[in-house]
Formats: sequence, C-alpha cells, structure tokens
Amino acid sequence: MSEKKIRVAVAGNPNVGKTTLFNAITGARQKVGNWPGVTVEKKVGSKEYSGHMLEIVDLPGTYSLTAYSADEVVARDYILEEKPDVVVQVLDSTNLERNLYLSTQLLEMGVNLILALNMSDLSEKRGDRIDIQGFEKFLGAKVIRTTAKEGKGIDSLLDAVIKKAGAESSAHDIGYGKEIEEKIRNLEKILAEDKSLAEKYPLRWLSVKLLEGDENARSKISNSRVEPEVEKFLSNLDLDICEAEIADKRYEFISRLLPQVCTTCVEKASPSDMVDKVLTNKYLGIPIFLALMWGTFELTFTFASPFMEIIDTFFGWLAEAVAANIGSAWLASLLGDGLIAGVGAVILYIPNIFILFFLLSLLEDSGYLARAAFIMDKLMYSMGIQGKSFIPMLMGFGCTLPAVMATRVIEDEKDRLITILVTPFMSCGARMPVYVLLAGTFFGRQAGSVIFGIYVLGILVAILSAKLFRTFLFKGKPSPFIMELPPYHRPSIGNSLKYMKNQGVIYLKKVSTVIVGGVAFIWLLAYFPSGVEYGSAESYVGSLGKLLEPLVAPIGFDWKIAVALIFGFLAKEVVLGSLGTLYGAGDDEGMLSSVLAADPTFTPAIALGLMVFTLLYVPCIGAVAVIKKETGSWKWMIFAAAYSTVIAWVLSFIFVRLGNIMFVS
Amino acid sequence: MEYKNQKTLSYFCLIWGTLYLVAGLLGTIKGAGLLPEDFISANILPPEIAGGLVLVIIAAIYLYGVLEFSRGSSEGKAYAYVGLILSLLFGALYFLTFLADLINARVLFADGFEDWTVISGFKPALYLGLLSLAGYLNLKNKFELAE
Repeated sequence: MSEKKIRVAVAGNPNVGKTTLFNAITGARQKVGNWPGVTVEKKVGSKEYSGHMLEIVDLPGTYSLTAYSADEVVARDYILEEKPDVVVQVLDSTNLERNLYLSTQLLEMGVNLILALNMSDLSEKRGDRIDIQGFEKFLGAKVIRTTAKEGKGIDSLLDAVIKKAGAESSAHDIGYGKEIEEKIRNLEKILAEDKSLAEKYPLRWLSVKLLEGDENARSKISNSRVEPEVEKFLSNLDLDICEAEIADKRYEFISRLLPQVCTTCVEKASPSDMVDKVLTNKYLGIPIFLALMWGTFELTFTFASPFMEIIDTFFGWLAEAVAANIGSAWLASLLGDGLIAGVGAVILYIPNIFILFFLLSLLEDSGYLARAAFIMDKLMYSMGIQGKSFIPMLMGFGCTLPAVMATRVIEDEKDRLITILVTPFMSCGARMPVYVLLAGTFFGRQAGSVIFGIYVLGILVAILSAKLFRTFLFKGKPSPFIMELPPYHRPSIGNSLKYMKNQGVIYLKKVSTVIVGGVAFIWLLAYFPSGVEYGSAESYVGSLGKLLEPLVAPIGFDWKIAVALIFGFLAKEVVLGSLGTLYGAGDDEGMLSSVLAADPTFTPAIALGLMVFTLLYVPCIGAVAVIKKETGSWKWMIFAAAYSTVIAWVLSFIFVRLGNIMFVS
Repeated sequence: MEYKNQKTLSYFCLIWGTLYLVAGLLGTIKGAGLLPEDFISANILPPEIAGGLVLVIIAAIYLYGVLEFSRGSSEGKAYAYVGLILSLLFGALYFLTFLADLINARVLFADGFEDWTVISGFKPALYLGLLSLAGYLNLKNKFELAE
C-alpha cells in the first residue's frame, strides 16, 4: 500500500447526491463531528483502493463559495487552507446549468478537480446527450458519470482520483470582461507584494473575491502589509456592481459552455418560466403582489357579509330568547351580556377567517407565495433581512406561533433573530375580526381597502423595524437568498378546503376555551361588586380600566378600550369579546357595531387608531412564549413585547391625530 | 403562423390595456374626489381608489406586453397571458362580491343595502372580466404558453 494518504474533498450543491456518493465510497468507515468553531456537521471517511489509502471529507452542500453562510466558509476554507489533493464536485446531471456555477469557482481556485456527473441514469432516461470529452476539454477537469445510489461509476471515479492526485493543478480562468479584468490585474499586482499571501492563496482568485466584496477574503489580508493599499483601491469601486458583473460573467460562461457539450441540457423556457417573467418583473412584481393581496382582503370582507348577517341575526335571536326566558337576573346577564355578547362578537367573524385561510391556501398551493418571497427579496435585503424571512412572515398572516417556529429555516442566527422579532407585526387571523368590525362600522364600502391598508402597515413596520435592528442591534449584512421556485400548478380546491377547515377548527377551539373563559372573567369584573351598574366605571373592570386609562388616554382611547387591549394579551379575539361584553351588546338592537357607531367617543379616527394598536402591540401570550422558546432568551422576549407595544402606542397616536384631521375635513 | 399569433395578441394587449387603463384611472381619480360625482354615471364608473389602481396594474401588464411584442420578443405572450388571468381573477372576485351584495339586498334585506341595484353592483372589473372571458374564448389557442 502507498505510504501517502490521498485527501479527497467532496463538494457540491445541496441535494445532488453528495452524501450518497460519500457513503457509497466509504461504507461504514466514517467519523461524524463538527467543523471547528461552527455547528456545521463534518463527515470524514476512509477507503483503501488499489493500494492507496483515501481520506474522504464530505464538505457541506453549497451553491457557491461566496462565504455568505457558515457552510460556504467551511467548504471554502477547507479547500484553501487544507489543500486537499483532489476535489470531487458532485453535480446533478439533470440540472447542470445551476451546478456549474460552483464548478466555475472551484476551477478558479486552481484545485485538482473531478466532476462526478451524478444521477446520470435520470439524465440519460430523459434523453440528455452529454459530451464527456468536450466537457473535459473545455473545463480542463476530469469528468466521470456516476449513479451513486446504485454504486455505478464509483470505481471509475476512484481511479480518476488516484490518477489526479499526483497531477499538477492549474487554475481555469473565466474572462470577466475588460474593465473587471483590469481591476483584477491591478489587485493582483498589489497582493503580489506580500510573498506569504502569494504562497498561501491563488492571487487571481483572491482578487476576484475582494472585488466581490467578500468579507472572509478581506479578513485573509487583514494582517498583511498590503492591506491599506488594497482597501484604498477597493474604496474607489462599487463592489455591489462588481459582484453582479462577475456573477453575470460566470453565468455567461456556463450558457456558452452548455450548448457545446449538451444541446439537450439547455432548458427552454417553460410556461412556468414565462409566467415568472411577468410575476417577478422588477417593475410589475410588487404591484401585482399588492393587487392580489388587496383582492384577497376585499373578497374576505365582501363575500363574508351575508354569512355574517345570518350569524348576527341568530345571536340577536338567542340574546332575546335568553332575556325573555331566564328569570335569574345574574344568569341572564352572564349569558346575555357576557357569553352571548362576547363570544357572539367573535363567532360573527368566522366566515372571514374561513375565507381568508382558503384564499391564502389557494395562493400558496399555486406556487405564487414562493414568488412573493422572491419579489420581496431585494427590498428585504436592502432593509436588512433576506427574502427567506418573508416566508415565515407570510405565515404570520395565519398565526404568529407557527410563523415564529418557521424561522428555523433561516440558517443565519442574526437573520433568524431579526425575523422572529418582526414576524408578530404581520397581522394574524385572530386580529382580523377587530378590523372587520371597526372598518365595517366606520368606513362602510371602503372597509376592504382599510383592512388591506392595515395589513400593508404591518408589513412596512416589520420591514422598517428589521432595518432598525440590522443597523443598531445586529450589524452586518443579511445572507443572500437562494431558493428553487416550484413550478406553478392549478391549486387544489380540496386541499384548500381542508386547510381552511383545519384552521377554522383551531379558531373555534380557541373560541370555546380561551375566549369563553376570558369573556366570562371580564363579565365577572363588569358585574361585581353587586349593586353597581353592569360594566360601569364603578365595577371592578371599570376600576381596572380607570387605572390603565392614563396610559392610553393621550391616544384618545377610553378605559373600556384599555381593558379590551389588556385582555387581548390572552388572545387577540378577546379584544372584540371584551368590547362586546363591556358595551353590553347582547341584544340585537345593541349589536356591538351599532353601539360603537352611536358612542360619541368612538370616532373613525379612534377606530383607525385601535386597529393600528391591535395590529402592532404585544402579540398574544402563546406567541410570546414561542418567542422565548425560539430565541432561548428572556431578554429578547421582553424586548419583543416592549418594542411592539411602544411602536403600537406611537403609531396609534399619529394615526388618530391624522384621522382627526382627515375625517373631520 | 407564430408571427400572426403575436400580432393578434399584440392588438389584444393594446386594446385591453387601454380599456383597463381608462377605467382604472377614471375610477381612481373619481375616488380621490378629483372628478365630479356625476362624471359618467356611478353605475358604470364607481369612485374606487384601490379597485381603480388594480385595474391600472392590469393595464400596465397588457401594455408591457405590447412593448415586448414591439421589440419582437415572444415574451409578450406571457404578459398577455398573465394580464388575462388577472382580468379573469378580478372579474371573478367582483362577481362573488356581486352575488354577496345581491343576497344581502334581496334575500336578507341587510342594513346598508337599501339602495343597491343590480346595475350598481356591476362594477368595471366585472364587465371587463366578462369581456376578457369572451376575448379568451375567441383567442384560446393563441394564449397557449407551449414550450
């Protein structure tokens, strides 16, 4: 057996069969641990083959080597610092265009590269004809077909590894165009002055990385004497533009290469791609998204109205029946003023909840919501979070709890924490009944647009807060967002109905537990001490409200609103239940909407302010608990609650003032 | 054949884009109170800011399609297709709203619907949506986004 161990790094995009290939080579001879300093899994295996001992390292799956995420830094640093004898890049043969982006970067690093065209059975099955020799000629790298899950091509790959291990490596340069090339040359000249740097890193590669604004590459020259000169050179350039140009040139290289080595691999635009051209158009994408969201809320409000009318009539009848048939005054009050008024005020909005969830499910099922995240990425990135954050944020339209939990898909810890802190600003379904009542009562036919505006306000506050957090609390840049967009397909009405039913059942369960309990408790506080007028300032709830009133009085809210908001911490629907109970809207004539409209202190401006406050203030107790669990910190939980309540107070104050001017004029 | 299809769709985009743009702009301006209320009957053109802006967005998609066709790009077809889908979607949305209003006014006799009439419920997005449906049925083959 040869004395020298051959060290092989296995690189590749996620989900290309890299680990399957690693397992096929190493079998059970593996050690699993973590890379030093990070929680990225490190797998090392060994294999004796043709008298050689091979040490195989499975690098984390990455789309590029730009060092934006811990995975990319680990993969790149291993190749650069440890200098493996051979790098095997595993490619998905059915998606060469995307996989070759990483190849261009590996080639630039001057590694001894072997390309393993994995899943070649699938690519052959669909009729792809890949010219292996042409591939090798263009890239200067050995190319082997493999089907790792069946163990096919493994021996050829290992033969190539042994052959390549002794060979001299050479970098394969991609032409970046006249201007960038000139900058690369100038940087190379500066860097060459530091001999140790030149020995350690390929200078062209380092220059390209510096032009891409790569922070990790910058840290590599931080102790070099050429650093000030490099920094001075870079300070005169717009690195974002350089980065975009370099990426464009790499894709241009791939698009020139592919038709020459595999004509059938060049994908024609599918109908889904063509639709994406429009829906993700840089000018039309966001307006189309806003139009669709507006349509969703408009339909949620208008189409639900006859169903609400029927429920309303039923509860009116029930309240009358209770009043007429129950002799005991306190029991009649508990049922009429408490439960029927409180719970009825919440149940009334079940049609809206059902319709909203149904429509959101249709949008998701069609594949459009993934595009929404993509469309928002640029705006979100400029505001300090990545597009991937928009997915949990969109889920927040349903319920904040699963939305906060969904932030687990975000790898970068800072990005994740920012997303957790801003997700509660996305208006959950539980808050919608409050908007529907207030907008319907005070804004008539414009109610749908007002509700849409409230939702948009939530998105804006979330995005601006993210910018604020990124600037002051979590300095640095968000990770770039890479996601595969699923093809569009006709949404399944059955699936959407099922989703709507499940969400509706969750809502009804909440009504029958937390909300019934909450309104019963408020009724107790409103009914006692005995002898006082129900829900008056002299009742317990009145005393509590009077105590809290100074906190919200500058906004224009009275003690009843203060109480409703406090109990809304249990669940947002309780805001409405509390108002129903406190205003004693148990009978039909006293329906909450009519009572509020008749209350001189409840103006359209106050209604707007209350909607804004409900949207933004501390999320419900369940959401707060999940924030604690997901951040693992009391500090962030308290911060989230305090920050949102302060923002709610300030913006409600402003909206009420603006409303007073607008609605009076 | 393809050239002929593109020309037909280009005209379709131009006509539909113009119709949506006029209806959307007038509805928005009227909604903002910048046009007298009796400027074209409210039954045909109700004052509506958000709804008007949606029509303007649909118009922009059609007109972007015209621009693409004029450059000789086949991508114009995708704009015509998406424009049509959104026309039909918003037409359907306003149809459901129409049905809900009809039930409120004629079956449940709900408050606030006393003055509602069938004509007043027939909003621009609805009649333009119906027109789009007719357009689609006539030009069905030309809209196919085949590979």
